[in-house]
Amino acid sequence: MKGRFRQSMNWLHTWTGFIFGWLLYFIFVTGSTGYFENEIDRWMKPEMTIVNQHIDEYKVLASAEKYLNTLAYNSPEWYISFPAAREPFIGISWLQLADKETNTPREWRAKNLDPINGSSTDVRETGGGRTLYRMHYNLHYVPQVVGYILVSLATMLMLIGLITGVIIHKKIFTEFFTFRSKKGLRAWLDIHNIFSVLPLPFHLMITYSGLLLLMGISMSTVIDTTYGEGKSNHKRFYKEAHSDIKEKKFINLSPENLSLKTVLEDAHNRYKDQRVSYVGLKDRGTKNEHYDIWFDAFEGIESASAVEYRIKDKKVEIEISLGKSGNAASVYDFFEHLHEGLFANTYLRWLYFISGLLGAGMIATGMILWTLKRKKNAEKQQKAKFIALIERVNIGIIIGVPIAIAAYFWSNRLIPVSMATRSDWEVHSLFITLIACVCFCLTRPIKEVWTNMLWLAASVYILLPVLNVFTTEHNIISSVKNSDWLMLGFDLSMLFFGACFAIAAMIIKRKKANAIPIIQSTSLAESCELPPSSLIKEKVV
Amino acid sequence: MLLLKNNRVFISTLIRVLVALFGGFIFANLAAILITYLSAGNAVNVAVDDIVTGLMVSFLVYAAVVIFVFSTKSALSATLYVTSSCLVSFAVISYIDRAIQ
Repeated sequence: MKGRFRQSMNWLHTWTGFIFGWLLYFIFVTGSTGYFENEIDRWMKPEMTIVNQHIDEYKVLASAEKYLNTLAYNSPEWYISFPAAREPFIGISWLQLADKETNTPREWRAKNLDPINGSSTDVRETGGGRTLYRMHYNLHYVPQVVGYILVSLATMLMLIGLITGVIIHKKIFTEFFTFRSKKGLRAWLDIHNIFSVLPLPFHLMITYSGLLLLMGISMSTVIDTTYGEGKSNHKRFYKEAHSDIKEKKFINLSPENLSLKTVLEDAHNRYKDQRVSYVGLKDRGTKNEHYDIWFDAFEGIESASAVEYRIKDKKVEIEISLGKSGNAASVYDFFEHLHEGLFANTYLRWLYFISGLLGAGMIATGMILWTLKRKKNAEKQQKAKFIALIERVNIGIIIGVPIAIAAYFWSNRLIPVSMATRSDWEVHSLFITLIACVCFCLTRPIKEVWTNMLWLAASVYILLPVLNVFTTEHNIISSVKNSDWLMLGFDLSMLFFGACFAIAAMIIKRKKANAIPIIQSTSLAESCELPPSSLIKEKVV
Repeated sequence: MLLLKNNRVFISTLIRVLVALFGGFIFANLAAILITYLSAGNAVNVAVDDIVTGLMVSFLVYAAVVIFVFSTKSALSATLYVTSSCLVSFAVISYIDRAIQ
């Protein structure tokens, strides 16, 4: 009975992993880039003026207010952002109301301000880090609900794959320390185990919390039955589910003096060791007009509280949020923060990123194992052809997704700044490149596909900092001089990734060179004990 | 695949997949509603927090159902178990719903 149970779980593990394997790989890689959203943003908006000296926040506020008064006099919402650790910029943003006469749509607009002379800079239109990481749950081209449901389904299968994966391992702990590098299929299985077991807590957390983040859509019938159907009820649900406990009190400030400046002063006095990251003015010109202050810091896993200022009964009242009101909502909040990792410092952020990539590696090795195991037993030619096709698409996706992300960065520099739809075309170039990579893998001789793709990936990543030198005034030396650490970090990381791809290409090439004499003298079954790229001349192809 | 070697195995696998996918989804939803009611104590004062609890547990229920469906002896018994659990929880939910009116 026990053996049969394990066998059926093995079957379930194989197929839940396989069905959405490529999609899950895409989700893991693009999702991992989200941990460096601000860093990617900085690179994709090279015009932004960074603040690397001490600034007078009140002076900045005054010049920002001047701009907003002329550019956004009729806007209901204003925001002024101050330099923060991962966003060393000064910016203003506002909600532009729709105007039929001038043909302006209702949209958010933003401008970057120079810290020294207060002038505004035009920044190129780009999807930035946000569009890139959002692809991991909205899939970009499909309608939002379809994207959410597809991703939820894939995530559900991932969760089942993880649970069954734990079940089928008899000796999960010993296997973790086992690596038989020269044993072909076993070597791939060992790598798969290492990628899965070491970051298993991360995999479980990210998968389960991912499901929670989309639960309002994937399990919407529950809300329909218990809370009421329709959009307005759902909106009410979200609002109440995310409601904070708030402390309200009147402060010693006369209502006539309430302005952006006094609000900032009060916030500085109230929280002396906190840095203000945003000041907002909401519902301008209405009875409900109020000011918001957000702080840069996180306290543990929770973001530091925001403070709201409004006039009530001819006095100034402040509202300080103290966390979520419900117990379950607090658990949800905990998972959400864990998933997004916004609280993480640089080191933890890298750990998050590496764990995400290990997850992607786990899926990739799983897909490779799927083909290797079947290749061994493929008697019929038709079946063998099909498996060979999957093997090629595997390579096209595994190396193609990183190349496509690099193409997203390349297009940011190569598409003319004046082009109106340039941010759309950045995304188009990502997906066009991905499709091109898969097609490339389908046409090349199978023994060269891995090395070709890896060299291609290495070159597109290593050349990114070079492209940066030729298309902007930024380069590694100037970044060091200006202490522009985000730009420098991005350029260096790209060089590092490129180097990793190049090393991988060299390792595979060497292995293949060693493997060729063996392949001629061994049977088909034994030849499976070589890396997949070397399964060449056999009848499979 | 060994499991797909003959038609009977193929059909039983197909049934399991369908029961796991749709039966699991329906039962996860029903379980979430039940948990919401139970955690609220009744169906009148359902608070948002109870719904959040139900939703968060529902995914674990879904995963458990899928694993159960693939580990039982036959596809028929898997179907019967899942269907009857759905019917029972649906009956309980309707009973609680009716009790309010």
